[in-house]
Amino acid sequence: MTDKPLLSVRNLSVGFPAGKGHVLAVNDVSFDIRPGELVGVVGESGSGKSVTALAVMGLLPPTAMLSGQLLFEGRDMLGLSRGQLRQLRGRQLGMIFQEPMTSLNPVFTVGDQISEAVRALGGVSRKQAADRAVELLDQVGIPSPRRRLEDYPHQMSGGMRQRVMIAIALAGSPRLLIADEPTTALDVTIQAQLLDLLNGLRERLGTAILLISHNMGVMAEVADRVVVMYASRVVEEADIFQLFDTPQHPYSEGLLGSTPDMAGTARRLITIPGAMPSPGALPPGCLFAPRCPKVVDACTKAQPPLIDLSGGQKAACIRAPKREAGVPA
Amino acid sequence: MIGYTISRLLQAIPILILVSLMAFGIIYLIPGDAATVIGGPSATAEDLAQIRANLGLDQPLYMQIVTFYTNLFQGDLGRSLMLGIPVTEAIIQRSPITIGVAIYSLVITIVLGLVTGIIAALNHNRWIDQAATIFALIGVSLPNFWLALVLIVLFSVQLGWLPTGGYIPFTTDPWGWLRTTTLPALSLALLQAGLLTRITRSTMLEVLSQDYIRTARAKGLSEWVVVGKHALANVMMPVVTVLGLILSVLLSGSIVIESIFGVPGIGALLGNAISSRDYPMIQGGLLFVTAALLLLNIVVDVLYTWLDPRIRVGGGK
Repeated sequence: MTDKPLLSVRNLSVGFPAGKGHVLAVNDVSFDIRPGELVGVVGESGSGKSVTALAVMGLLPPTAMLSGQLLFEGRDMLGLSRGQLRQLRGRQLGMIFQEPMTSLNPVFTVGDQISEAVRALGGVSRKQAADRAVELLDQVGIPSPRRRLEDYPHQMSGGMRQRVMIAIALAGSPRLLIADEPTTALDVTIQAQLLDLLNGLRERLGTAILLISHNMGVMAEVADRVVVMYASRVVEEADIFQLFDTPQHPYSEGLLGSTPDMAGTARRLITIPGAMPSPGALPPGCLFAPRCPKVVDACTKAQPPLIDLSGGQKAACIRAPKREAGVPA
Repeated sequence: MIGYTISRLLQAIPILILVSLMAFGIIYLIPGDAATVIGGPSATAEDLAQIRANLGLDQPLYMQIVTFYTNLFQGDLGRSLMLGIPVTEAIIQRSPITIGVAIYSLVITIVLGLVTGIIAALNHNRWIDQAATIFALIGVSLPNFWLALVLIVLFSVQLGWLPTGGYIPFTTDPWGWLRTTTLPALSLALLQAGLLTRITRSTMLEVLSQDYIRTARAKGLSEWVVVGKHALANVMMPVVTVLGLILSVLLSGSIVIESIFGVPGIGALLGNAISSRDYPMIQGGLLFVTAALLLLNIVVDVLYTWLDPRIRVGGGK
């Protein structure tokens, strides 16, 4: 693993028009992904994690207003033309989505949809593309792949379809794979298989993965590093062990507390009271303050910045530096 | 798929029986006696008896039904009172003309409706979309006979580009055929194109927001392939569904349109038969048009299963 980031998201903000003005779905988000690294983005629905992923892919609707930088191997993707961006998609970037049931075109065969992605790279015959499709299906663990080429998506289970989606995303041997809640719509047993598959592919192919999920358990399973998002902002970024051992933001603590413990220690799950503020009606100061169990007066005055703590951990909480210094909260 | 086709054909039988009974009953639907209506005020008692004997009206009812169906299965629909030739012969002579105009009209409908609908959807909420929506609304609202008259005034009278009416067979002179059939085909097509535009536009908008379109874009495919292949294949299904409906409106519209333009097809034949109370001709025409529409709708249904693998591979075996 080199230290030079493959993808560097710098102060990314994404706004959508709403009424007369616009609302920010993503607000001043920054993080890096190094080659071969698996970075998780975790947060509730509407925290801006999927919008961040789509922004990286350049797949946001034309009404979206983007600012900041999306540096892919040092090149700012926001400055690229639509054609250049299309060249990146499929070759350097691949993406799989939450809903395997609707993400494949129902009227074309699986083989056609995979070989099409292969042929989009150029320079391959129909036959070669079909062979490569078989190879890809084999790679994602689909048994007797050649026979499945003629299948239509509706003849496959959700888990199989998600494997097909991964095969499509891998067609161009991308350097970065974005997986947006890839296991959410699947059975728990299939979830584990798919996470294993993604992790295995990362190790074998050296593909960096940006994994989006609301599930801390999924993160614990595979992520190297986790970015925690809340109401369009990054509230914490940490190594997976740091995050589970010493979460620095009360929201991360809340998320961890509301995740069932796989070790089987019986305890009552903690819930975070209230709901995430809507992007149109944000509270003053820290966005989490209205739901925070440890809120103090200063929290409602100003949005605390994301500050560097030891070991590369970052948190946007005014109490974080004190806590780290061992001062009891 | 073959099984499906056969079952659809079998389903058509009860409908054909019902329609044939209605065709048979037409003669009894006339107020008073059919023979007096046909014979007119100057007919003598012998004339009326002769007409009754010709139509078989002097037979008991069950005999009339038996004779009607016996003849029907032999392809004998009786003799046209107006033309003096067998109804079957008249239909065979005239139907290719109507079929030709209907196909021409259908092609205009599909091209115009699909293209306008797709362009509108791709430019959602921009002026071009609104223009297409207005065009479609005008299309579905205008009566076709009125449109036919407007087209004659514009293209024949004012501009002098096309003849006001008449018909030249395709086999005699293809260019002449095109000149004589363009206005009838347009009058029939513009309205249907409006309907098709609306359906294509709304379906396309829905399809473009689907997850698999996002997948296609994520693959790095060009917008041309995304829309022309991935979206269009899914848009075609609802479009094909309305084709059956469009065809039936095209055929029923041809009665008025052919009369206006003097195109001697089935439509004009039926129109004349109705106004001159040529009952055998009306019966025969009704049966023929119904059978043709049933067949076309079956073709559309089978085409639908061919387009949608979920039906073809799933339940269609």
